[in-house]
Amino acid sequence: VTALEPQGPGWAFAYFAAQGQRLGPAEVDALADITTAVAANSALLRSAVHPDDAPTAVYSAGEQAPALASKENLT
Amino acid sequence: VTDLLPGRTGSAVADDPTLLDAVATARRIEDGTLDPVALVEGYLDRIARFDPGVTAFVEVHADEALAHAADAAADIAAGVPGGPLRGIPIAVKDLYDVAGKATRSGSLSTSDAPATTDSEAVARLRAAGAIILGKTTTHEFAFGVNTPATRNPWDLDRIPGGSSGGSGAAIAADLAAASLGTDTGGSIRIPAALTGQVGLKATYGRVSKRGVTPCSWSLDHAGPITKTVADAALLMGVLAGHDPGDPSSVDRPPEDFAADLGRGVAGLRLGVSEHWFGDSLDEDVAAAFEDAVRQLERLGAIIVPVRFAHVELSGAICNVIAGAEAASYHSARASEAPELFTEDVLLAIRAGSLYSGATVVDAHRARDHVRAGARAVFSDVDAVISPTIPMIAPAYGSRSVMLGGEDTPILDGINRMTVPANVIGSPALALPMGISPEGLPISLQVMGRPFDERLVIAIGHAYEQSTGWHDARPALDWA
Repeated sequence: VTALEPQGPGWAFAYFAAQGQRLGPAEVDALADITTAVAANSALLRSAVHPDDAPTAVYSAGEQAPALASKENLT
Repeated sequence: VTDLLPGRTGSAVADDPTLLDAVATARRIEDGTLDPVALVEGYLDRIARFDPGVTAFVEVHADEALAHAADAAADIAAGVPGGPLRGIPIAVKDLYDVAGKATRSGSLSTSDAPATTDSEAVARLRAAGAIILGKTTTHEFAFGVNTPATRNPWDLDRIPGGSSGGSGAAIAADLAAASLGTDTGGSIRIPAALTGQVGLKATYGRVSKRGVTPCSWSLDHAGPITKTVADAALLMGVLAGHDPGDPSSVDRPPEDFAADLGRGVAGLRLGVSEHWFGDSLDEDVAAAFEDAVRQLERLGAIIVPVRFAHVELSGAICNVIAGAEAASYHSARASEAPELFTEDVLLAIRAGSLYSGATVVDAHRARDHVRAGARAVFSDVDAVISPTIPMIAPAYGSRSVMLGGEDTPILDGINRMTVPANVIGSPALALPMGISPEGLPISLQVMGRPFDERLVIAIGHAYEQSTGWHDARPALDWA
């Protein structure tokens, strides 16, 4: 968990306020659910990656299609 | 079962060209037995009759469509050669720029200023002779699966799916010959599935997204919703192609996506994954899929159990990447005028802005794991088949669905089996697979290797033509 990941609804409220974002009542009410979901997704993905995993698709030189594994590489 | 439902073939519909598929419509226009003006008038009449109940369209371009149809008729009379879609009326999701029309993207936060040029996809359709009939509804900024403005033509108390809900509902009610949608986590295939139509998401980068409002740049795909698989091949042949103006566009030579329509499935190895794709299905969906598997076996396919490693990460990957990219795209708009967003979309954008940079990178790293899992599967099989959606169309207004006995947010439940193809970038086709006891469509998904659209289409076409589920239409008896 990094220092920037949400620690709960109070943290998120302060985060948005610091950015000058206006939150409506429904948004404030939903902050607990939002931060729970964000934390769950973050934890799942953090646990899924190995320290040696490099995000090749994002940084591969000349790759035009970041979501793409070429057919040639698949077979 | 299809004999009990209204169909798109047979003598009963022979005199109504709006019920024809796009391939048959194009053939009749070219052989002079169908007047393009009469065809557009027929669709306008149906829109006037049925769209007040469905609300598939945000605007109908009647005058322009009739004028273009008259031009097509004049060209045909003069013997002028035409493109493959000459005179075909097509509806376009209101995410695509259409010159002279505002792109509202389903949001009050967008400008009503008209687009100055066509999106590349619309330009390609026009160059092929298609007639743009109007613009269809979308879940706001394509960030959802409900499309609240629109109802499912099979049952107005059900959702049509989304985000391309208007494009799916329009084809289901035969309000256009074909339509355009976009697909970030399933938004072409989901409405196609829930309204009983065909949806094709091609390989990432196949179809230009220039002039299309983004939802998530690295997950978005543009593509068609159609009445048949052959129609999807026809439209993909027009839409696909390199566009230097779209940084994600792939430079590949043109292809005839209908070239293998008659290939069949004999000898093909089709993967079936119980893990993730089979373990949370509604009973009727599971039964329909079992029937589909047996049918494909009868057609000569070899069914191979596969395990799609890491696929369970797909939802979280999509949530993080799409959320962060949407937060980036909408940050100024959401900061300045949050009241102009609908609540669910604004909350999704807020959530996206809370992911740390490290988590976004983790999502891209995890995406490689899913991609590696796909490589392993596709080294053993030619395609993977599954239901498109684990359940039938949820009730209108649903915010959650039952998935494997658990109450699940509607987005996570509905896109469970569609989102992996977005994470991988591979082609995926949704096509009709049955009708539930409630009278609602059930859908089959065929997912293939990147750039193997022709085989995905061949598999879908073989299944479709052997079952006839695509001929079933909603009764529309509420109108």
